[in-house]
Amino acid sequence: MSTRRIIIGKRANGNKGVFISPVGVDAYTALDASLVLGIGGALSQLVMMGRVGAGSTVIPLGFSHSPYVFISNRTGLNVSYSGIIDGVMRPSPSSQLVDNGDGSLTLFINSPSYATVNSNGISMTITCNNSSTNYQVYNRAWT
Amino acid sequence: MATRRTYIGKLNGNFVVRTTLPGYDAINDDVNDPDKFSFSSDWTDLCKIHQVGIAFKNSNNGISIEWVPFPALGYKPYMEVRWLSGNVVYDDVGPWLNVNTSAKFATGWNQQVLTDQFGLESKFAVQAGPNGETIFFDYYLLYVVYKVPVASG
Repeated sequence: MSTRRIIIGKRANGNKGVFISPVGVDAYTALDASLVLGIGGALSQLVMMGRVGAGSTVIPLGFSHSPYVFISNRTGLNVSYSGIIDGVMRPSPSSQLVDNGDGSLTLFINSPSYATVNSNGISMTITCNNSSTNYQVYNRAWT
Repeated sequence: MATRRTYIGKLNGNFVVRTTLPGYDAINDDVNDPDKFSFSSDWTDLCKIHQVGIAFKNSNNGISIEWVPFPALGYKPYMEVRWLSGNVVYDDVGPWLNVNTSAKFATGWNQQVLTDQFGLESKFAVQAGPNGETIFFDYYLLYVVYKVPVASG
């Protein structure tokens, strides 16, 4: 018998909903952890992701709650053999030691980017102090 | 003709569930284009979220680790954490203050991740001078635990 990859209705464990399994796994009897999608399995959903450039950018969200937001600075790193590489760095923001010419060094720490959630999730403002910033927004609320 | 944004049924010999973003057709558009489809039962590389939340490190506990439990996975999972201060989410900047300049320093995070919990370590600074006092900081973290194993010892 071929496997049942999509169940809309009741499963063997009595749970009702929409359940989808990977190839070769029976969606009717599989453990929740083995499913590709289970109506009781998702705790949150990635609803938006993207990248903004330097400066201040307002991104409409349209929520009535503050969603989970994760941002990652992208910083240009000058690598002698291949030029400037732009990417996510850890720890972030990046820092650099500058030779003062008198035998001393000064440590400069770049300003971090950050996301401000406005009006309980109506929008968010990303302040990007580096070349660009990646962002991810989940629909799960924290207010 | 309006686009079909949801399709449940047989397609090319297999039963599928597909949903598209506005303006794209669930049957004829490219199912592997993430700019067109929001879900397909043919996708096998979906990243599942195990737990999300806000964790708090209490400075009153001094040098210590505060553990945040999650249902056991049987492996050490991949995690994302970010410092949360009020309604502002930072990238990777810890609440580590230079007591002389009040400038925020990039510290990264040093979280311990086990198979069923992760730990928040203390953040502190020592005041300059011979009578320097150690100052501990409260902090909040936004975190996500993914159902993705990380090879670790």
